[in-house]
Amino acid sequence: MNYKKGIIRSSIVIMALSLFVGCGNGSGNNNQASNGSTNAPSESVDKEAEKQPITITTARPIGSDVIFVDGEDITNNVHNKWAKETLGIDIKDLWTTADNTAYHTKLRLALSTNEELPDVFIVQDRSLVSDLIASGKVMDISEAYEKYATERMKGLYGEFSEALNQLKTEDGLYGLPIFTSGDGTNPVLWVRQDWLDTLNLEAPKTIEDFEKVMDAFTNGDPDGNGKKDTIGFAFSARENFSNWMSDASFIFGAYSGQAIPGSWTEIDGKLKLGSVQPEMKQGLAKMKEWASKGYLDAESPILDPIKATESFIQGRAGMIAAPSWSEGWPLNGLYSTNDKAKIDVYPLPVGPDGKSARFMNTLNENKVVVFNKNFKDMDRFFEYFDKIYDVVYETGDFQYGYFEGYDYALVNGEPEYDSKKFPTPIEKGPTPAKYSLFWHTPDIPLKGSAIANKLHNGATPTTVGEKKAATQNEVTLKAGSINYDLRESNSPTAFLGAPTKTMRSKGESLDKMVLETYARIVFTDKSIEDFDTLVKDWYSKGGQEIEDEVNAWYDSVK
Amino acid sequence: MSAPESRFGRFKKGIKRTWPLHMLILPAFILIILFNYVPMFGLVIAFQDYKPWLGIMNSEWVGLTHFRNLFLFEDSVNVIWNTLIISVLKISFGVSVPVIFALLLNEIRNIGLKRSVQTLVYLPHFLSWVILGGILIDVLSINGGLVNRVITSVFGIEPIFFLGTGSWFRTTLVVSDIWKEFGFSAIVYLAAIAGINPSLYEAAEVDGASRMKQILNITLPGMLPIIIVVGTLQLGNILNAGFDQVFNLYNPLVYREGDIIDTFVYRNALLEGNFSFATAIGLFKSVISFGMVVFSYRLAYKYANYRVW
Repeated sequence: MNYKKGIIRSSIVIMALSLFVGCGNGSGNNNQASNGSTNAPSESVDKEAEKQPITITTARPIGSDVIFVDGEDITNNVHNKWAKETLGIDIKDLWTTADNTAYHTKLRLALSTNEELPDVFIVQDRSLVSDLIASGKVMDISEAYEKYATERMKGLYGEFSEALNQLKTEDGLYGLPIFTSGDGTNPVLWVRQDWLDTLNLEAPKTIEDFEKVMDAFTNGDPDGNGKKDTIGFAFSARENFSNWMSDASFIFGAYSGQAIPGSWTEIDGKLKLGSVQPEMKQGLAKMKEWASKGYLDAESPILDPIKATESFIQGRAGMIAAPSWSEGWPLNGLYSTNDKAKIDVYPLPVGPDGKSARFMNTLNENKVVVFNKNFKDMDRFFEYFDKIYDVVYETGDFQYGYFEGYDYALVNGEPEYDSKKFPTPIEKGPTPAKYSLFWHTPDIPLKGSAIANKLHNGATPTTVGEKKAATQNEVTLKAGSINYDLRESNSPTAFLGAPTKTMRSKGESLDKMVLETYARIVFTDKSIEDFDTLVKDWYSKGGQEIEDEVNAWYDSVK
Repeated sequence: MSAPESRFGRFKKGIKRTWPLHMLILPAFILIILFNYVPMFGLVIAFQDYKPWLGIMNSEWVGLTHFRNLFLFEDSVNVIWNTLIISVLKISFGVSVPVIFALLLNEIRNIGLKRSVQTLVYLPHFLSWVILGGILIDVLSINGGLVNRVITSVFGIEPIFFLGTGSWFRTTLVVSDIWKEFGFSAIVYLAAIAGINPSLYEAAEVDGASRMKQILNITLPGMLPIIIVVGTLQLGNILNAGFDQVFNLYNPLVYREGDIIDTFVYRNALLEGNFSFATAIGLFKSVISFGMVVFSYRLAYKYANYRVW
């Protein structure tokens, strides 16, 4: 039939044209043009609003953890309103993405296509940060920092000044790190307390004790089932021997007091790579001994940090080194397989001379704020920055939290943080902290564990931060307290610069060689003497150049 | 050419009849040009020291430096060798196992059994290696993993550390990959078998051929064109030893036997955003693959009289 042919032809044309439907403003992620104009704010709330109104552009990922109340979104919300009314700052998002990875990809694209970058934005990718600095598109803020940063900000950044090295070059300072709790991924020793009790043992204080406890856990049938199915200690050796979870760095730190595998440490004024320091040989020898006696899981090199925890969770391993919050997750998985199990937490065992060192990530989890070269309002930025820190210092308008009715509500004069208990209860509490330029509340490093330390030692909570912390369970508070006690043993890497020239060409092969040798020495019959060959090879195959380049960087930022 | 009916004239006439088909394919055609051919211009960064903020136009030219560097790496020879060995093993078993399986499955009379076996067997194809990697680590574990439990109780030997022993790792890679893919690959061969003229079998039976003889002389030759196509395409893949799988399963104890070109490039390019180097390797692999495909087509033409155009 003729009309049938016509229908077929027209539907084909329609299908072909539907290709173009996707073009144009398809994705809702592009260009959220702000409704707010750059006109003066409507009312002068206090003297500060009499300032010149300005606009600050930014960009960010908006994940499912950013929660708004009805009628608000990322451009139109209580935080942006506050910024406009009290500080005269109109915050505009140039673009947003759905997650962190997409955000960084989009930033990279903007950089390579010469697109205009936002005024103020966060970056959490070290090589992107160094590319941005090298491109000359981000501002040197050393002068602005001197002029406009408030006293308490200068105090904070002075106390943790090593973190600034990530953004320093010989010419200046190109941004600021945004601090987090700092020691959130530092390991403490988690132990099966019920096993210790069954075998009548004390928690290990030294490496020697540690060895005895492992022996008892492996051979003493601590779970009482008549089978030799338990081991002493679980850890991961798949990517590194120093890890944020399932860590083994302290075993090496017990002999060096400072250097741990994978980190650059200052020794006699120079930066050196921990992995090739002589004391590591003692740690490796010990681990080799333990592996041969069955205290360690021979599969550790194929398990990544999360998978390695399964051994503890399934009741096979008696000890594991993990962050202070681990009892909440993942170690709580143990309770579902064994409801009689008891987990307790202790300081890491120290070496024969009382030495100790342990893994630590950067104080800012690599999160930094950088500024467009053409941004003109650094003074206003530092004002904003200081105000946001009111939340952390519990001063000013933000002493209880950000905005009443959002993240807290006053009930009988006392702040309440559970949104379901507000005078007008909200099912899912909004998260105004995540509307700020910094994606979250910046923190003061080590404050969290200092509070845990105070509370665990019997103090009554007085400040808001302390009251919030007091809601944690006992073992987590103990772990936080231990975390604080162990702060002298923190060994974060001192090299915070971009990968150097030789690192880029040879660094990866050297890392591979180190990891392979370590794993083979501990778990196969490779001799411990091969460690000396490793050190020699590392230096001769590019390590010496890398060390020189790292120290050149260190001298430039010292 | 000055034939009375010019080529263009015939073309116009043909288009009048077939334009709906051309319209149908137009969207796909545009997409392929846009996303597969146009980006090829980006290959130039393999010859540059590409810096994202300078872009392609302003990055420095370094000629064949990256290609030379590939061979200067200490591990390069080892890595290329691993890739070839693993690839060749995967290709040879990856073709022979599904073929044999298809032949065997074809012999089953019970249609219900045939269908259910086929369905069960091609399901693993849809699992990602991220998931399968985790499962394999558990199943092959030396601490009570399923496989080792069977081995120790039935054969009475010590558990085998499949994923952590150099000499076992490649075998584990190949066997697990074949296990995952053979069911899906067999589908194509089963289709080929179904397409063989049944009267050939009847004639063979009349001539007194046994079932085995029939398989060898009718079924296999009937499948040969398909086997050659698949084999040729696979040969083009010779430098891809399966990044997903290796990345999820390899570990420091087996770097020497398991590190392949793609995992090597992944680590080297990821560490410092070394896009130029990664592109250079990609280009190198593509050139080799192209060469292999042309080579295998020539072989197929010469020995099996098989033409693709």
